[in-house]
Parts: sequence; C-alpha cells; structure tokens
Amino acid sequence: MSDVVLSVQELQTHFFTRNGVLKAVDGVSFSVRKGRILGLVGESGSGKSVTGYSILRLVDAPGKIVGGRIVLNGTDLAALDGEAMRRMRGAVVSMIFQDPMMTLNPVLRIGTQMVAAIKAHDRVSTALARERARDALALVGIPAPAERLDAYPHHLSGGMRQRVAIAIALLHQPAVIIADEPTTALDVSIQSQILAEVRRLADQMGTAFVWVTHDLAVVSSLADDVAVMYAGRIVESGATEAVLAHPRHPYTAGLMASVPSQAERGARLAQIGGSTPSLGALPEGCAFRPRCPRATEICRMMPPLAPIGDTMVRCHHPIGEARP
Amino acid sequence: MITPLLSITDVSKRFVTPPNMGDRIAQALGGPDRTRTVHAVTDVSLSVARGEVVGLVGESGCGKSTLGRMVSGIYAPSAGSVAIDGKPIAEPAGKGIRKLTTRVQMVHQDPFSSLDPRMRVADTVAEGPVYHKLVSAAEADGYVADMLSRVGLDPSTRRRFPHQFSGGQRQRVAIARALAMRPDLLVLDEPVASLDVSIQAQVLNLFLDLRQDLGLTALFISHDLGVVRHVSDRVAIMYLGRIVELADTVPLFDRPAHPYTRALLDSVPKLGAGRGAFSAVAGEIPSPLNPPPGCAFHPRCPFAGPRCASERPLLKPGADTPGIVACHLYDGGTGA
Ligand SMILES: Nc1ncnc2c1ncn2[C@@H]1O[C@H](COP(=O)(O)OP(=O)(O)OP(=O)(O)O)[C@@H](O)[C@H]1O
Ligand SMILES: Nc1ncnc2c1ncn2[C@@H]1O[C@H](COP(=O)(O)OP(=O)(O)OP(=O)(O)O)[C@@H](O)[C@H]1O
Ligand code: SF4
Ligand code: SF4
Ligand SMILES: [Mg+2]
Ligand SMILES: [Mg+2]
Repeated sequence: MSDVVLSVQELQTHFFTRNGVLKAVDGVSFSVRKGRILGLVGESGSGKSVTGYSILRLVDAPGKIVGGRIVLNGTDLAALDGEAMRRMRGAVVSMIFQDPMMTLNPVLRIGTQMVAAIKAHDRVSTALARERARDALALVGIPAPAERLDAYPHHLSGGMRQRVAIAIALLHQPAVIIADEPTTALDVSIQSQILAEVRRLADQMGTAFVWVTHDLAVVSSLADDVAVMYAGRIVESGATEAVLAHPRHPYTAGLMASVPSQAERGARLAQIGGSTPSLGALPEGCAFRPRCPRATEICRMMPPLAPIGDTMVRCHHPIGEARP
Repeated sequence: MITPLLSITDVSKRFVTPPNMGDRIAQALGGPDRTRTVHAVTDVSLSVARGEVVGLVGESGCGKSTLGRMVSGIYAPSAGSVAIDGKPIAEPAGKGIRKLTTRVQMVHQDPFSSLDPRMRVADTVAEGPVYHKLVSAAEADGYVADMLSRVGLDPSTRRRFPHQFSGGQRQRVAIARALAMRPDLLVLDEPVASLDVSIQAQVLNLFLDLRQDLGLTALFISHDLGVVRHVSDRVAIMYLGRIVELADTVPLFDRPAHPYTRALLDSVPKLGAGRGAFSAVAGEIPSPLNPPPGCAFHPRCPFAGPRCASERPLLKPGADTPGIVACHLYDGGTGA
C-alpha cells in the first residue's frame, strides 16, 4: 500500500555475549501506515526496545542487526551510510524514550536545545527557530510555551519534560515516531493528557507511531493496530479491536485475563504460570510452551505466523480452534 | 466500640530541607530564608479493623509511602499519633526513632533495592525472627523453608542470592520476610508496580490466598486503581498529603463523589472502552512545597467556585456520598 511509511521485514537483532548469542529480536515483521499508531506490547525482555532501537539503527555492540529489511518512507535503511542515517534521525524518524532525560541535556535551557535540534536539519535564523520551538511546545499542550523556552529541564515536572521530549521529536514533522514506554513512569492524569495529544497528532498531522508499552489498556485506547511480542518474536498481530476482542494466541489471552479489571473483584486472577523466559535458554519450538495450557507434542516445532481471520497468529493451537 | 487494630490520628509529616551553602551565605548577608518545607502528609486520620484491607491511592508524591512509613514506625510523625491496639507504635528517640513493636511489617516499593544483594534469601528471611526470638537459631532453617513455601517459592532455593530470582520471585521473598515476623498488620507499598502483568497476577493471587488463610490486615498502597479495587475492602484517595475521599470499595468505584476521584477514575485507560476515549484532568500536579490554599485541587477542578480557593473543605459524610469526602460541593456549595 502506498501510504505505508514504515515496513520492517524479518528483522533480526542479536547480542553476541560471552555466554552465547541472545536472539533479542528474531524475525520481526510489521508495517505502519501514515497517521496510524501501532502498539507493541509484550513482557519485559521480549525485545520491544531493541526493535525500536534497531529501526533507528541505534544498536551498539555486542548487539548487531544480523538480518531483515527496514524501509522507511521508501528508503531502504541498509543502503544508508552512517552520515545519511544521522540525517534521517530527527527528520524522518525520531524516538521518545521512557526517560525524557535521554533526550534532554540537563545543563541547557529548553530553548537552546530545541533551536540546536532545528538547526541540525534546517538552515534557519535563530529567531525563526525559536518561534518554531515555541509552536512545537504549544502543540503538545505546554502552557506558556514562550516562557518555558528559558527554563532548564529540572524546572519542569516529569510530565512536562516528557512533553518537551515529544515536542523535540516532532520538530521536523517526522513520518514516524518510535515511542518507548514514554508514559509508564507518569501519573494516570498526566498520561491521559499525553495520550490524547498523541492521538490528535496522528489524526491531524498524519504522524505514524510505534508505541511500545506493556499496558494493554493503553493499547486499547490509543493504538489502531497491535503486535504482541514474546521472546523476540511477534506471536499475534492485527487490528486492536480484533485482537483484544478475540485473542487467539494463548499468551495474549493469558495477558488479557490477568488484568485485574477483567476479573470479578476479590476473585483469584487467571494467571500465566511460570516465569518470563530467559533468552539464553529458550525451549525448542514455541517459546511459550513451558507456560502454555494448550501445548502438545507438535509445539516442539516452531509454529509459523499465519493468518486466522483478520489477525496473524503464531500458534499450532490458536484459541477458537479445536485442540487435537 | 471495639478498638480498631490500626488507628492513625491527625498525623502530619513535614520534611524540612535546610538551605544549601550558597543560600546560607546569601541569608547571612541579608537574603531570604531558603529553608524548604515539604508538607508530605497533613492531618490524616484513618483506622483499619482487624482483617480489613484498606487501599491507599493517589498520584506520585501525594504522600502514600510517607504515610506507610509512619505506620511502620520508620518515620516519626511531625504531629499526631499512630497506634496499634491503642498503643503507640514508635516514639522519637534522640535524633532517630525507636520502634516499639514488630507487629507492623512493610513490604517496600522496589523489590530490586529492598533486599540485601549480598545476603542469601534464607538469611534475609530469618534475620528478624531470630533477632526478635520468634524462633531459635536451630529452628530457623525449617521456619524459612515453611515461609518460602507459603509464598509459593521452592524452599530448596533458599540458599540463593536475590539476583538469582526474577522480579516476581523477589517480591515473594520480600513478602515472606515480612510474614516471618508474624505481623498483625502488613503495609504493602506498590507491591506489584514493577512487575510484568502476568507476574503481577501471581503476586496478587498470593496476597488474596494469604488473606484468606491468615486473615491478614493490610494497608495496600498503589497508584493502580484496578489493583486497589481488586484487593481492598475500603479505599482512601489522597491528594497532596491529605485524604480527600474514603469509602467502601464498591460504592466508591460506582459513584465517586470527589471531583479528583472522578477525574482519576476517568483517566485510567480501560480495556475495551474504545479508541480515543481519553478524559484528562487538566493541569499539573502541584508542588507539596507550596500547596494551593483552600482546596488543594482547586487549580485543576472543573467545579471550583470562589469558596474553594480560600476555605479548606472538611472530610465528612455528604448527602448520598459513598463515604466521607472533602469537597464544598457536598457541604453547602462552592459559593459560585
Ligand atoms: N546491551 C545488551 N547486551 C546484551 N543483551 C541485551 C542488551 N540489550 C538488550 N539485551 C537483551 O535483549 C532482550 C530484549 O531486550 P529489550 O530491552 O528489547 O526488552 P523489552 O521488551 O524492551 O523489555 P522491557 O519491557 O523490560 O523494557 C533482553 O533479553 C535483554 O536482556
Ligand atoms: N525523606 C524525605 N525527605 C524529603 N522529602 C521527602 C522525603 N520522603 C518523601 N519526601 C517528599 O514527600 C512527598 C511525598 O512523598 P512520598 O514518597 O510519600 O509520595 P508517594 O505518594 O509515595 O509517591 P510515589 O507514588 O511516587 O511513590 C514528596 O514530595 C517527596 O518528595
Ligand atoms: S504453539 Fe503450542 S505451546 Fe505455543 S502457544 Fe500455541 S499451543 Fe501453546
Ligand atoms: S472543594 Fe471546590 S475545588 Fe475542591 S474538589 Fe470540591 S468543588 Fe473542586
Ligand atoms: Mg524496553
Ligand atoms: Mg511511594
């Protein structure tokens, strides 16, 4: 489709450690269209952040992208040298981190940092750059934006700092923004303000987002599409409504069932047994097998990601189909 | 009337941060006094009956952990009193505080830093009970094994160090350590906040099981309303150091009265509520260094009237409110 702005195909990012190769991302594929938000969910260590870093080519040794293709706004990133990739970052794709101080410099005024970020890609006067910086702050709902330009990061609350980081990510109206749990550390009232802003930016400016989170409720209210990761692979993906209304993969279903608001008050929660897998010692075949109530002998072979109705599922015995 | 197990009466906690060196020099030269006072908790009263679980909810910095620490005897209140069965739990001693009881145990917010990384979990769990002579050193090993199996950990793992456990398992160790003291009251400070959803469910189920088996009494601190609704009998909502609403869980969630409680419930993203369903409270969380006068919520409250900026609302029952609430809307109006 022509309005696909980000396409990731069979991405593999591995870490070459002393204890062996950790396949943090192992064959991940998805695409995002203009103005759409993809929610990327999964347990801690499942490879969500590494996927995001890989798209920006920010993976450092011992990590390495060892396979796959990433096409951003029509450009195959593999064809770019370091300098060309640097020019893409900020202009065509940018990232928002869980900790806004990954973006912000603590000893510089907000305005100084934003002007520098603008001038990194555009030849404009400082006065014009300041104007654009002020407009960007206003866009993400920061009150009195002109005055905030003179503030230092520590003058602002956590929520305000995260808005500034989002404003910086937006400066060059990139086609795609990768957001790595940017509201996880914030309070719900502030999170709600930011999510509303992000949804508006996608709808009105056509910015596409990959929104990494472990909170299914956030995905449900924010994302058009969702991809669920487990141990370096996508196990289920599709339109948010379809996946959340009828989860097909036992892991997705288990996640949904363990959210307290889904259960009767005070009743035991449906829990996924066992613990989060260690990438260094994955079982053969389906990585979810040791925790899966539906596992059978055939699960010792890796199931392919296959379509079921409108969603894609990586499971030999998806929910809704009889188990042999 | 029976004495509640825990009574917190008009408790306040202020943290005074002395001015830094530069400010002190400036002050000596005639500059302003830069001593900063954080009003972390102000005039909180709350009682918890034996066997009851009370949830404590509110946004970051509203004073939940500080209140929990006073209940556990880790901080001395600046004013007011905390008592178990009518007896004070701690007294200020010199520059510190002397705990008078081991009957309250706290499970701290962060399972990664609350366990000593150099101690085997068996020693971590046994330390308190042996020191306080609940068990002899000879019995300690069996006692620890018993505690670990009670929280669903394999007792044969007791010689391990904390880093050899996952986050959920570490949180179980922290709970086992608290239970080993046979407390009458547990203070759980965000026990599941740092855990994955699938592991969160395991720890919440453990808590529900222990509650049923041992009849635990607990103060359950969390900023996650879904979690609190699930485990609590009553819920106290805090805003900027004060309780603004306190009621039984079901009516509170069905028909919250305080505008802040309502805003908070509306802000929580819900599974299945549909896309774009955001209803945000406007404005920032104010600083406890400088709480707004009158009702502290008035700069963000959509119902605020003239009375709200000047007169502090009292926590009391209103007509048709689920419990007690501190808001002029239920006490003669906002003067608008
Ligand atoms: N620099 C590194 N060296 C070795 N392994 C790494 C490195 N960075 C990440 N990993 C491994 O890659 C895997 C995926 O990590 P990643 O940070 O993507 O997880 P995540 O899904 O973002 O988890 P979380 O929800 O905890 O942020 C993990 O097992 C992690 O241990
Ligand atoms: N030891 C201390 N010295 C100075 N200020 C403190 C101290 N402990 C807490 N505070 C301040 O008291 C206020 C209440 O803090 P507290 O940790 O009780 O909040 P909380 O509700 O537990 O927040 P969170 O949800 O972030 O854990 C905050 O403004 C905090 O900065
Ligand atoms: S492939 Fe088998 S083990 Fe894996 S999720 Fe499906 S049923 Fe469970
Ligand atoms: S007292 Fe006034 S400002 Fe405070 S919550 Fe009630 S209506 Fe709002
Ligand atoms: Mg991550
Ligand atoms: Mg706290």
